[in-house]
Amino acid sequence: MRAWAHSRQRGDRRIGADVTAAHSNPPIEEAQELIAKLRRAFAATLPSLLDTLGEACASARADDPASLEQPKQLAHRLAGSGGTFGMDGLTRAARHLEGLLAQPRSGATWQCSMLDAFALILEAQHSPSELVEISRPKISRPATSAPRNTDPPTSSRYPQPHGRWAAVPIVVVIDDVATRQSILNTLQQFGFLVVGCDSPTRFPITPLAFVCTLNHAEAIRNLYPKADIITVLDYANLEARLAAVRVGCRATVSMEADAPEIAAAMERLFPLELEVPRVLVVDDDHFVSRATAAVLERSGLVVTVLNDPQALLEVTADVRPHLVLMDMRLPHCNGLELAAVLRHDDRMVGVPIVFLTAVDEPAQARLALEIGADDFLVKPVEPATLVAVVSSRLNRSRALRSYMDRDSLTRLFSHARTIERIELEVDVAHRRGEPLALAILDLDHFKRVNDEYGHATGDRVLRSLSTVLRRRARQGDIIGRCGGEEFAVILPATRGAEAQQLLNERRQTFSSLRYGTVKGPFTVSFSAGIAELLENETPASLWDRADRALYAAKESGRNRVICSDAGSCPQLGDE
Amino acid sequence: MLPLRILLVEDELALRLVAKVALEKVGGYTVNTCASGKEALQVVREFKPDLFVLDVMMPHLDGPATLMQLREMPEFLETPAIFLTAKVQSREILELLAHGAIGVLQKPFDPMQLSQNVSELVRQHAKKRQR
Repeated sequence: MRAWAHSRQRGDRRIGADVTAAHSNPPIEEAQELIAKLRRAFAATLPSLLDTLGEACASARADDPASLEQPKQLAHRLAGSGGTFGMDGLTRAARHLEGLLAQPRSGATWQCSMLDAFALILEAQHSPSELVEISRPKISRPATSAPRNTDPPTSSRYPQPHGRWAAVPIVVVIDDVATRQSILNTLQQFGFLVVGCDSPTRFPITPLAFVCTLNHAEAIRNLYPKADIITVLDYANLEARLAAVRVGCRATVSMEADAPEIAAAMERLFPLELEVPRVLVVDDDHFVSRATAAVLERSGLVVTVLNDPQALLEVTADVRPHLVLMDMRLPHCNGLELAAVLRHDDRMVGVPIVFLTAVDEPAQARLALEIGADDFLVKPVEPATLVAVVSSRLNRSRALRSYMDRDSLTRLFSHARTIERIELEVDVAHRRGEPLALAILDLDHFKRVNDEYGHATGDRVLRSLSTVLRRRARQGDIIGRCGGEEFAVILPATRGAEAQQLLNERRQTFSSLRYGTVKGPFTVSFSAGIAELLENETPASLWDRADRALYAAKESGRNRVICSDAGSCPQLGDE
Repeated sequence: MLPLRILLVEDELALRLVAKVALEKVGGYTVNTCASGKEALQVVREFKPDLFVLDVMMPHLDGPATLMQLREMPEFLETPAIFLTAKVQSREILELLAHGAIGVLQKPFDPMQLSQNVSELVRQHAKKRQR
């Protein structure tokens, strides 16, 4: 007998493992089935419940008791129901939040704790045993008659602030309120999630990093032995710098550091991967493939499921996956043959292929590795193992790709890769009938910066523009450095007018940055030209029109974003 | 022990259903569910329960208030009541018992265990009354 209650205690849940009931007692069996159904129904309502709770918490204020009522009630409800449906993590998270809401405090620490609780809730939502539960309703729906599922993941393609770090806060612990505020503002401008604290506090999950003054460094180190700490200190004071080293700080920033310098330090520590990795799951079993996809999606990857291997080439051309996860046994052909076919495609040569197999077959495994498979997983795979293997493969191939494809100064795409990406994206946009915008940017009077302040300062300006573009980018945007001071931004599924607005926001952020030098601070601006892809237009023509718009922006006085005439956006200069 | 008739009052749909399934299928009780205290007051005379199971935190009429109004009907003055609550502090639990409940059950609960816990409370209560 494998009663549900027992399987829950053993944590014995795998992808595809179903609730099996006792044979001896029909009502009990029936009860278990019904409870499993209710659990699925509850899981289906959970995302919207958590959204509501998130919004309620965001608008809660310590000095306004009425604003605390709704989040309190919601948290209490979740605490009561989570564990009943086998989601113990959810109950823990909700209880924690309840506790915080019961003792409202004002100021930064309170906000900090709220964020804290959020993270916990999120974590609860993401714990592996619950993932399968939450994703089940999708699976239990009657199978669609369509042989394959290649819908582009529209909802996940361009959500707003992106990246796996966007949800992990950087904590700034500095006593002086003015300094703290200014650093918070800077980091926020660059797209980091930040929170200020007046003293080191323990968080339920480790923050991305701490920015602090030396007096707090040791306390933080004691709380978080492995945390990344960036200390703000007086550079002239050697004693202080030594102390920072002793506490094990990852980086130090001078008290007098300007915004670009702090952002550059963060950028060095946390390089941002703009493209969310795409994984293609090839498996003819609808149930297993959806469950696998759900687990990977929860870990922040974009997943496409292919149930019919016949469509493999078509789908890989469309999705351009960073990793292929393939079942060994497929109808019509086997996984090994398919892998070989993929390896013949030039663009797919470097893409890791991970095989899933039902039984341990050493002979097959050896063959697969000879063909160029990268790893082998035996089903059923624990969600945590699946995520670990896939991420480590992705990380490694990403690091390799990065050296080949990126500009060494800014870590943006190199010129050649940018052109290649424009060709690809134009192709995709035509096929999907989606809009596409291309922006070409050029720094204003950059030669003067180099002449006046030297090339090292010039490089700082280039890097900070790169940081602004990357941090402010949406998921899916592609950014390249095309020459000395020329940059390109490819904005898929975006109209010209929207692109113009986005670029104008980035222009304002960038031009407000002050670079400190011995000769005094200065600022730099950029001009940009935008073109929206026309019907049947070639990549070359699109580039040409964006380039001409850039020229027009330069001609009409610089520090502005102009859209090509053929596009649909209004002609606006600097306001 | 004869199958008991339970009037279950719980505002959250998912929990109402799971508790009903648990008490009926596993425990063999006859269960009537209500989504609010108001609804409970309307159906109680017709259903004639032997036991109340009441959620504590409900909008408008909460669990204790519902019980107070139920007690105003002479025929239910002695009917045992159990509270279901996500509250955890012992002070809160004692307050709930002071409303005249025979026991307080914690949320979250294990659906497969709920019936057993309910019968245990009912058994203890019956013993006390015999003395």
